[in-house]
Amino acid sequence: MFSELSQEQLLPRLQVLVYSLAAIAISILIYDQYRQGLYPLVLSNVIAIPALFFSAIFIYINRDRDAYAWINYPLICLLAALGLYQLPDYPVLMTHYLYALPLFSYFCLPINHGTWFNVAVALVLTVLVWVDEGTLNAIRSGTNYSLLVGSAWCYAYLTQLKGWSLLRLALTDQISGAYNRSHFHHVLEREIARGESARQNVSLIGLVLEEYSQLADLHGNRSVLQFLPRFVTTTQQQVRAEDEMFRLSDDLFVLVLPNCAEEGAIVLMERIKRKLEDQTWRPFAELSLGAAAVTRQPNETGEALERRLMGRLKKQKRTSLQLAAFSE
Amino acid sequence: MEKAQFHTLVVLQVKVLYCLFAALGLSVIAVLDLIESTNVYAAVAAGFSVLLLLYAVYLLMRGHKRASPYPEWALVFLLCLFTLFGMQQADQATHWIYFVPGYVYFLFPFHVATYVALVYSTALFLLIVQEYDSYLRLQILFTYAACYLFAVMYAMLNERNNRGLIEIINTDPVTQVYNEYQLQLDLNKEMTRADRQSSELILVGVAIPPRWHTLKAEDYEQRLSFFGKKLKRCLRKYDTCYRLNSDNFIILMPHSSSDDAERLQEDLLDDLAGSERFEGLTQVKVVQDVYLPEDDIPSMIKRIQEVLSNVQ
Repeated sequence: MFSELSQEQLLPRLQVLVYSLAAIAISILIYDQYRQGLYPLVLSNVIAIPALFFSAIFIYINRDRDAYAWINYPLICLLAALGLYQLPDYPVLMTHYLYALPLFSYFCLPINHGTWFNVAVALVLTVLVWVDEGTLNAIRSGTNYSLLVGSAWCYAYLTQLKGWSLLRLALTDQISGAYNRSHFHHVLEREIARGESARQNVSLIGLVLEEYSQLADLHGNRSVLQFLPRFVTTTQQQVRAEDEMFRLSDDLFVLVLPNCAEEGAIVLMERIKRKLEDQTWRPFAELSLGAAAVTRQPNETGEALERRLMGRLKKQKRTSLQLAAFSE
Repeated sequence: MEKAQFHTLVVLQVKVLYCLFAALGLSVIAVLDLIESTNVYAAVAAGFSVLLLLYAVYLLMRGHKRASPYPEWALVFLLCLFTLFGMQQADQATHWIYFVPGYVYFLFPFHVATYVALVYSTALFLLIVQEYDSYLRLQILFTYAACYLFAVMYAMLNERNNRGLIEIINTDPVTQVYNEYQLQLDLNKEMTRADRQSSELILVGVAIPPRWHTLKAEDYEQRLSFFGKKLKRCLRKYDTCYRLNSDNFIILMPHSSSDDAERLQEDLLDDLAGSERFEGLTQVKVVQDVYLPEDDIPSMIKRIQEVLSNVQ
């Protein structure tokens, strides 16, 4: 069911599942508390259930947009507030209830935000227990909560660190399948050195997906994620086997063309641009591309060549905007 | 500092800091237990605190060397035992059960963690149903289930993420050279270029000393990492080095002749001869092969692998 989804797509779906299960579990808890006559807790939990269901539905509707994540903030604050509100009346039960928050917070919030949230909860918890049950219990509850937060933080941070370090070793952009920025710099330096040794030109073609963020807003992230690999494959079909394609940022792709003079690069750029703009890219109505080509000059470094390409792309964008304004 | 080393160092620092933090927290709990005259629990908390302190010292003494996972597994096992037996006696021990799912999924591989967590959870469920009154029973089960669920979901996400990333790294984490998959991609490109430009493409194969294969994983990786660095230092700017799945290395030398390959071989052997860090470095075998138009990728890699295994 979830096997074809990327991590970004998987997380909101898992959150929907977890929140729905939590709502069902709380319903069972409510029944038990009702039988025992713990009516204030029943009322608290009656508030938590619709909050969980509402969050699950909201995340499901927005599962392919970045906006889904903000609902986690009011949800976790509400759940913490309900627990802390009932803590003076039901200290034993609510202490257990609050111990679920550290893992929950790191599951649904970014690490920094989760840490600040937990620090706040730990402080409030300690103060409330201190007021009602004395110093010893306050220290015990605060220490236990802090240890849980420390464990959850360690778990979250080290797994994130592992992901980062794997990402740093990666040569390929996970979404589009093109090579990534760090590999681009290695390959460019290599091709320049090789070009100097074999007295061959090195050219770059830059392709910018214009209105990239509007496409994501209009059609959702999922459509863009499905479009990018198709875009890369189609572009790669237009170039030679020795040319490489790189994704330098969300909307910027660069082709490295070894042994290719300026005229050849310009002809190729026009051909690629025409082919990509003419093709149908469902669900997008049309695809607008900015393109520029540069060829390395003697003694030019890779960094300078890249800068020149970016300059040309910017200039080209400015010109097309001026043309559009003029034609209107 | 290299990426892999940096990662190991940060992990080490985080683990040491966490152990010290947990040891401090547990010593506070031990003092509280002592004040409340629950001496057994005070002793257990103090014991865990000392163990964590010793583990932090052990980690610091190991430094860059990879630490064995057994001490961590032993600590989790002790925690599981303590919570299962301790919660029958006192409520304080009950709070500790919420640590178990997170630790288990963090320290063990996903499928092993699933079995361990299932066995532990079943035992815990039976104990809670037997030992606790209806006032607390369902609340403890609810909180434990929530901790368990979050730990599983988090582990699942990470498992998926790591699997996805491993597919795209194409760089060997130990030596920082490219891996065999990337060699196939690059070789395909280089063969086309050599055909189109009528230039020579040389492949240099380097076999590590056979004795290295008998070493412990940690020593073996240290030698490979060192050897990878030496190899990279001898390359021209447009040569590329790859580690094969057999742990031998291949260097791709485009626009080159046999003389270039021989020069590389000489440079490499000179460099290795001057190094006294590891024994047996001069026993590496170097062979070269030239790309022919009738070659394809698998046959070429196979051919060079065969030559390498024959010279070993």
